[in-house]
Amino acid sequence: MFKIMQPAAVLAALSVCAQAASAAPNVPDPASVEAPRIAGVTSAADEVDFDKYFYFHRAETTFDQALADIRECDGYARGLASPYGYQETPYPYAGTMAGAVGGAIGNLLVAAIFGSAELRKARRSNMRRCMNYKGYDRYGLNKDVWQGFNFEEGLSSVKEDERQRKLAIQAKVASLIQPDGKVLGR
Amino acid sequence: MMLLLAMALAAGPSKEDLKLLRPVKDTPAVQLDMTGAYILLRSPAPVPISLFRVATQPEVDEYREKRAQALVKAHQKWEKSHASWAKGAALWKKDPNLALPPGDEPIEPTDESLTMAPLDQENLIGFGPLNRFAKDSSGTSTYLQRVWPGRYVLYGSIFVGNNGSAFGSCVCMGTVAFDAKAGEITDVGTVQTSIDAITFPRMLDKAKPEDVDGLRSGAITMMRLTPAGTVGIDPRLSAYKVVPATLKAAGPVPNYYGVQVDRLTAIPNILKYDRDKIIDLTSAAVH
Repeated sequence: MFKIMQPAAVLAALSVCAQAASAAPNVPDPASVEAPRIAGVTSAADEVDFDKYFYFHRAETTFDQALADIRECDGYARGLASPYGYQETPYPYAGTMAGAVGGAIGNLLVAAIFGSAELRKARRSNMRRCMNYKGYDRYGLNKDVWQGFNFEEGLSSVKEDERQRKLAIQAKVASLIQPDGKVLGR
Repeated sequence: MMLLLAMALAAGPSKEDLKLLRPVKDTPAVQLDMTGAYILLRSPAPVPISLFRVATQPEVDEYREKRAQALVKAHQKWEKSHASWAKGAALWKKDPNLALPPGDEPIEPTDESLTMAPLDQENLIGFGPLNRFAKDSSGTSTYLQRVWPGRYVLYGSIFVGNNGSAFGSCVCMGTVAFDAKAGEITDVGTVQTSIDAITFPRMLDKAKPEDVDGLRSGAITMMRLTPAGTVGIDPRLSAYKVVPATLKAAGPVPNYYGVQVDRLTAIPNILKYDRDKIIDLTSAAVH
C-alpha cells in the first residue's frame, strides 16, 4: 500500500533540511560530550535486533576524525548534496551544488511513495556501508541504550542541534570508549 | 577551425544539439554520425546505468549566473513573506486575541540553502533498461548512445521519476571516469549490479558461490565494472572506430538523489581503496 505524503509534511521536512544547509557545525571538546555506558548493558536477547541497534568503533582514532567520518556518512545517508566533510574533488562541484538540501528532496519523495520504514532502513544501510568503508567495526547494543544517543529518520527529520549532539556522542563512542561484545559484520 | 570546435564543445550542447543525443536503436543496419561521440556499455541485467558528464568551465560559469539570479528572486520572495510574518508576530505579541500565532519565522535563503538542480544532475544520462542496441543469448544487453563529447563519470543505477523522486544506488564513494571523444565509440565495458547484501541479506542465498564472501564483506559492492576488451564488438559496428574507455578513478561524488550510497568494486590496475580513500592505480593519485 502506497502512502502519500502531505505537501505540508514535505515542506516541513525541507525546512529542516534547509536549516542543515548552514555551514558545518563546530567540533565540540570531547570532554564536554556525554559518555554513554555501553559495557555490560547488552544481553543475548538483544542480538535479534543487532541489524537495527548498533554502534561503531575504530581503534587508534581521534574524536575529531570519528566526528568528521560520522558527519560525512550522516550527510550521505540523508541525501545531502554536500555532506559535511566532503573533500575537494577533481570536478567543479563547488559552484554547481543544488544547495545542501540536494538529494534529500528525492529522498522525501521516495518516502512519500514507499513509506517511512523504507527510509529508516535505507539510512541504517547507508551508515553501515559508509562506516565500514572507513574501517569502523560494528557492535550490537541494547535498544534502550541505543535510543539515548542515536536516532532514526523517516518522514520526520531530527532537529539539527539534536542531530549534532547525538552525532558527537556517537563519535565519542566510536573513538574514545572501549567497545564491548563481539564485532559484527558490516 | 579546431579552436572554434573546442569552444563549441566547452560551451555545452544547445537545445538543437540535445535532440541529436539519443540511444541507437536495434536495427539490422546501423548508420552513425561520427561527427558526434558515442558510448557503448553492456549490462547482464535489465537495470538503468547512470552516468553524468562533467561540466566544463563555461557551463559552470553560466550555471553560477543562473543560480545567482535565482537567489535574488528567492530573497525578494522571502523579504515579503518575512515582513508579513513579522507583522503578524507583532500583532499576536500585542494581543493574542487579535491575531493567529505567527508560526515559524521564514528562513532567509542563502546560496547554500537554495534548491536548484546541480549541473551534474542536468548532465545525467541513463543507459537501459529500455532502448537496447543488442541482446545476446546469455541475456546481456548492449546499449549504444550518442552523447556530447566530454568526460563522463559512472554514477550508479538510478531510476528517476518524473516528479523528481529517485531510487537505486550511487557509487558516490568511489567510481571511474573516462573521456568520450567525437568520431569514436567509447566502449566502457560491462556493468554488473547486485542487490544490497546489508538491506537484503537473503540475496546471499542466491548469489554465485564465488561471490558470497565478497558480497558479505563489501569487497564486492552493488556495482562492478569489467573494462572493455573481453567481449567482442557487434559486427554492425565494424565500420566504426570503437575504442576501449581509458578509465581513471574518480569521486567522491555527492548523493544528488538521496539514494543508497555505495562505491564501485575495485578494478585491477585501475581502481582500489585504502579504507575510504580512492586510489587511481593508473597514476597513483589519491582522492
